Amino acid sequence: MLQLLFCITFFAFNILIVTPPSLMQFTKLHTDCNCDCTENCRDDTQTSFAIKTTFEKLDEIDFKSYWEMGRRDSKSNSCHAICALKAQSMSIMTEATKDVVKDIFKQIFRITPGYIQYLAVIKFNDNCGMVKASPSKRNPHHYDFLKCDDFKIENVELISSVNLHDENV
Amino acid sequence: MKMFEVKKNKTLIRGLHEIVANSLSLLNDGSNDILYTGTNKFGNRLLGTIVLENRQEQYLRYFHILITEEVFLSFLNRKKTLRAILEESESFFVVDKNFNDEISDYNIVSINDIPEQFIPLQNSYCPTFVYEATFDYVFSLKGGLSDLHMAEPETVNNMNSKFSSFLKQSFDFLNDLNIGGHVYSFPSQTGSFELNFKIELQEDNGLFKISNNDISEFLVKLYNYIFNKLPQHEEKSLKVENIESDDFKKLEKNFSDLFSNRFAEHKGSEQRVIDLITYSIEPFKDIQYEGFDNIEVMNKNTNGDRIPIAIVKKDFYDIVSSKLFSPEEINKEDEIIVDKEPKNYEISVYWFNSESGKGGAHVRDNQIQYKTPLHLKGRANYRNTIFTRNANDDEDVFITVSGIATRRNGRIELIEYTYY
Repeated sequence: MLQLLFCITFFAFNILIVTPPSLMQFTKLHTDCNCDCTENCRDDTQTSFAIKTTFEKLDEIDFKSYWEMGRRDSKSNSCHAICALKAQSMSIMTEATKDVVKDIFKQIFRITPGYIQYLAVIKFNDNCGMVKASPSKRNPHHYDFLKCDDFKIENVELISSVNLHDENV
Repeated sequence: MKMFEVKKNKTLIRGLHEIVANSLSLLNDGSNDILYTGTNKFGNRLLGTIVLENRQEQYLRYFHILITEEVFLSFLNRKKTLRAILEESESFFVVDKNFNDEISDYNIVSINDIPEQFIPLQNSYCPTFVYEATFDYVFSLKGGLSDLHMAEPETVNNMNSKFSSFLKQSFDFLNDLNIGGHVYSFPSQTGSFELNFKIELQEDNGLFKISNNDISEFLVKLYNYIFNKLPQHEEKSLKVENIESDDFKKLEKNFSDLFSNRFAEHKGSEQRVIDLITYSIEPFKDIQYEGFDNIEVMNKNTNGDRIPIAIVKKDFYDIVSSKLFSPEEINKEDEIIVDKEPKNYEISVYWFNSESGKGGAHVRDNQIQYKTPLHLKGRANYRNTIFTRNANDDEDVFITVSGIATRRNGRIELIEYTYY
């Protein structure tokens, strides 16, 4: 009986916890560096994330990384620094984190209303990319998003978009 | 959102707008610095804040504002908003940078040149999550001889001792959590004349070790309260039975949380915080401001950057002592009576430091009960005494001790007990 219970637990663990190998390719991401930026990343199509966007609707430009726009870290050429520039910055939105995340965005908005206008909540459908927790003291819910080769903006689901200028911030 | 055009106005003096030293990022959103500071080539402090990001044309726009140390502190301590700083500045700089942080253009403007949607909001206080506190402190003597990076050796020795004593008193409560601590002094540095200290905590390596980040954050909040908030309070505000100050209540809550986080018992946190403040400020009582005019207190972050906490001026002690219960305070109009010989007093100790012999107790006096500080003398330490046992009692058990009381206008303000 105990052996049966062990087997069931073992298989359940494998099914639920161990992520199957992703079919997504990240060749473009890694063309100009010798890093594995997808290390410790996961394919997540269930969780919601918050990002700042330029317009009310999602635009390709919001998912352009600073690396793609020419930014390089003059102080470090470590893989950590390179992969951070190749990633898109966002925050995880769950029942437990949403109030803290909104508060972080609102506090920044009060300081710089021209920098953050829209706060979008999104989900990634298949073939978008992978996510990785990158918490900091200032934002313990910070995440990085790394695009796969076939990334298309149409595969990102916009759940809601708030113009912070219309909110009581 | 539309971007905005900036009138092309340059300053006659070059380099005023550019941070070239002491650069410090106060807030970064994971992509860009939102708030930062540093000094220009003339040594003036600049506060920088991001204004917009133009991803299509690939540039970032910032405000660079020349500010005094006092205004910067007011902002960091959430007493002044960024909007108020901009409104009070006659002019400031709009600085454009490319995505590699290189300045591509800058112009001098006034707030009237900026469209409303780019101006910080009325409640644009410094965010609460700006930096991580550490146990490293810098006390910088400012003004007079110290601005020439010089100080009399006697002054340096005296100030080293005062600041070290202040820090020690401020974490005295950690003994109740079985956490010890030492203050180490480091060689002074220039700019103007800096004295460096590091607090090192010592605790048992238990199975479930709790991070001490909350202690370092509490100490910064305590110092911020002592030096910035308390001087603003009304006279005798901490002497009343029910303290109304929201700032004090927040500090008391932070204090209680330190104990709750460690599953430790705590009683009478309000009075304990008052006592903590009272003893901490004592070293400032007789500071001679000779060779310097004021003291800047700073916390050093993990990168070694200095985060200002307060500027302490000559009148600091006189201002704050009037808000507090202070056993040594002598007001000539008050009637001070000290027992000539020990008398019996009924007390219930609610906190006690078995190393220093200082504590606090409820005292029954003429059929009323109130709180009073307690000083023990005569031993190297006070472990396993009636006072430590009474402090550890679950209930408020009263004991009778024979001590010398100091009364002000009939009310006991201190009970001293000496071991012979």
